[in-house]
Amino acid sequence: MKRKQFYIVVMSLFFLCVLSGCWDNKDIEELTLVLGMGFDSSDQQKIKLIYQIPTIISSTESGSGQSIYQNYISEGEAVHEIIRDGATKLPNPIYTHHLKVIIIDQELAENYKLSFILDQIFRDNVSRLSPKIFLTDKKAEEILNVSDDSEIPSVYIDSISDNEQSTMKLISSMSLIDLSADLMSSQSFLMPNVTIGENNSLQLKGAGVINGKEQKLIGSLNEQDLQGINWIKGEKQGGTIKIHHKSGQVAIYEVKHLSSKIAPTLHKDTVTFDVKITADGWISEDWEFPGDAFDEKYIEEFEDLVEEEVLKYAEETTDKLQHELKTDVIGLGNQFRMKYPKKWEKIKKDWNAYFATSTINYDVEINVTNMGSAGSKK
Amino acid sequence: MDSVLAFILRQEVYFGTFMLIAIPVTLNISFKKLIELRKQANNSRSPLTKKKAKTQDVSSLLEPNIAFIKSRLGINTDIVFRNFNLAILNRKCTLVYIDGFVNKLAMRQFVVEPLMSKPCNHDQQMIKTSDVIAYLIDNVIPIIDMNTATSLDDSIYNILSGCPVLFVDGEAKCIIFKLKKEETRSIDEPVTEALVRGPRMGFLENLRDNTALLRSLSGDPNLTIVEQEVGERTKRKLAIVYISDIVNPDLLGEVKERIATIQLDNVPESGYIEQIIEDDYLSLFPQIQSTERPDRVMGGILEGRVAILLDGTPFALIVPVTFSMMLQTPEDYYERWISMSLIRLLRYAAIFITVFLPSFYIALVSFHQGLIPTDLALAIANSRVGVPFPSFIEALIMEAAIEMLREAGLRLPKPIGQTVGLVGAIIIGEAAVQAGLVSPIMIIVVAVTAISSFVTPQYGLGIGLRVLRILAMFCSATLGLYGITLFFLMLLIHGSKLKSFGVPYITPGTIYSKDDLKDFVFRFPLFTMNTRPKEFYPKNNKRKPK
Repeated sequence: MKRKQFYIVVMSLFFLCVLSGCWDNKDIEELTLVLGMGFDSSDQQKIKLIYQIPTIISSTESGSGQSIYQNYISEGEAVHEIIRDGATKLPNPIYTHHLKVIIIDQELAENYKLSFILDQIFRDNVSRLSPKIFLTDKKAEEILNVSDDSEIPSVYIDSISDNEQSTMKLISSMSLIDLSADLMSSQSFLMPNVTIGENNSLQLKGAGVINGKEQKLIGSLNEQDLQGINWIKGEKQGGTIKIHHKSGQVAIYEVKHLSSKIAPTLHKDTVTFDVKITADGWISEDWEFPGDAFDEKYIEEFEDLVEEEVLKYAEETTDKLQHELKTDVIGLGNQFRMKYPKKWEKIKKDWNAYFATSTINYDVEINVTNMGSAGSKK
Repeated sequence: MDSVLAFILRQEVYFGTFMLIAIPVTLNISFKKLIELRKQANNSRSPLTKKKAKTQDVSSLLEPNIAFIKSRLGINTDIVFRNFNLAILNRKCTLVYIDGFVNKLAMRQFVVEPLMSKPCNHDQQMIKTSDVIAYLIDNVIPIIDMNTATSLDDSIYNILSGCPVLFVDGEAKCIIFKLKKEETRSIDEPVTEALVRGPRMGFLENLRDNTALLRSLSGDPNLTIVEQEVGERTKRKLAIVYISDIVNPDLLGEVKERIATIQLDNVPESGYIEQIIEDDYLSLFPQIQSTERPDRVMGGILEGRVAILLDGTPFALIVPVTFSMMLQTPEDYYERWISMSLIRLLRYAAIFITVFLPSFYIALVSFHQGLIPTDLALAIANSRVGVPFPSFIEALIMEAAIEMLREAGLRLPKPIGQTVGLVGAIIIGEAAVQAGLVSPIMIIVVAVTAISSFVTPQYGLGIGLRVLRILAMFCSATLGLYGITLFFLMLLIHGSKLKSFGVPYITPGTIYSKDDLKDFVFRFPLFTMNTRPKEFYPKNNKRKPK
């Protein structure tokens, strides 16, 4: 009798342990994986939310001509309200662990603070902070609807942004965690812009400027400006620049190593920045004839041409930032903070005004280390 | 103060606290109880007083002797009593043997013929003065292996173990000829431990052959083979083999002591001995190594371990053993060290896969979908659409199917066994997926697991790991990766508590000696391995004489 009781106690303890498990057990096909999210401004209500969901097709009956993704669209005043609204439309709960991209309509970003729009995602303890955020000058709904039978638009955008190291026309993409950090520290920043190019295909083009204080979109930069930004920041380790010889022939310089050094100086209340841009690279294409790369003089001339071109980009960009947009998105403020921390505490609230009036001097040094496998044309 | 009180009085708080204490305490008590039960079982076994059987001496008359033997064995038809006259003395004598169990040719040629042939040059005087039995042994019977007995029980025991016994009228002694017919097969390569490179010989069923095999591998005078009998009724021969100037005396004493506790009627296989002398009967890990290879036994005893051989089985036991040894093969040392180190590493990976792959799959698919790369997640989701079972049940079904196939292939005769494998592969690979019972990815998981479970060189370990796999699957189905972590911790705790004849089971994974690590996950070059493993505390630690 005693032994029986003993076993009952042991068994019930065992089951107690076991039964407390399984509470979040849900097989993978019973979840609605969301790969992309879009925020659009809406006419009737505040926000229109789009989720991009890959279609789950049984592998034995594939090739039925179904689209490989579906977009669910819902409108409402608050994001979580809209998400829960999905419960009435979707068979399975929404699962955002695999979220790749978030796309925000420029109109929405102009009207509402970014920290409000993304508040639900920041608060949610399930969502990750790795998805990349893009602005769009079209509607997010259109972007997520660009139909290509082989690739889901969200995944496509995600993979385009991986090319950021091979061109000067892209800025590094913004993940949710970067965005959160910049919003917290009221720093102004750039957000890459996704648009629909020719042939109805997706393209990353330009960027939106977000003012750190207002947390709203205040303007945008085109591809030329982005090249300037990239040269000044000196973070890229790749990319090309096009120059024209005096003869009018075109040549391409490919950057292999790029660095820039920003040195601020404070004189009374005027700030001066000395920016030194150094680049090592190759001649990757040259239409000049004879164009003898074994000739040192020729190389020097080539370097001068590139330097001029870079200077042009850099100065045009800073001109736009200082006088048109009056916003520091290069991170000059950060350099200033490091050098003059006490002064920074006083002026950081109006930093953008200081930035707009500051003087920025550029010193560009371009080295051609290699002319490729062929030196001259005969 | 009020808030503290309110906090303590909340139901989940006091209930949780109670459970936090109740669960470990109850588990502790229950395990103590189990240990006690085990101890009781052991105690009842050990001090068994041997009943002294009535002994009867050989009488000097022939008739009572034969009558006694007949009264004990008489109803058996295979026992032959051959009466004849001694030619030299013209006395009656009887040869008793078991038909079919003795070497008849040798018996005729070397026993019966010399005894029945006419005396030609026998010194009659000498026969009269000396003991007849001694005279026969010394002068007449040309057999090497023979002795005498004065007890009838001894003689009966010898008859039953295949030795013909000669009773001579007028002598209170009998002669025992060791002319047992040796039923043996030729030396083959062991089926369970095949090697690409290495000696193609395995143990046989006959103990004498096996000890001879060991002798032939070593000319060391310190190689010691001590024999004794086990089995109350069947009396099998058991040999303890060690090298006397290497083995630790404490270990040897422990082995002898444990073997002395064996109280069984019948010991048909060394597995019986293994199960009785092992340390923890509840563990899933084999704590004694069993092998068919003489070179492996030789390697073991040269490390300072003790081997146990049993008559009637080709499987020898080696004690103590550690987990890492279960993953070694003699080939690791016969082939070159870099490649064999890699293969050894592969074996460690394989046992990890064997135990944990299905449980990881279950955990990832049903708890932590975010940890799977997106493309794979979509592929898994696509393949699982329409499967009616949760992944755990699906995995259980497939595991059961694979194990059944394995078992069926093992038991069936070889030609049919292959068919089973083929049919199984077709049914499971194709039909189950087509019917939507299981997902194709699950098939891959189960197949990889099955293949890696066959990598373990020790068959017994492989079975244990399969059981662990099922337990790991349960843990992961209830608590996900957290459950697997808990299970792995439990496994580690068990492994570090487990001992095999005083040696911790997971040495040299624990720190003992850095020299032992040379032969752990990697096998270092032979010239660096100058010492014997310290984990066994051998008397003589140096492998090289200088």
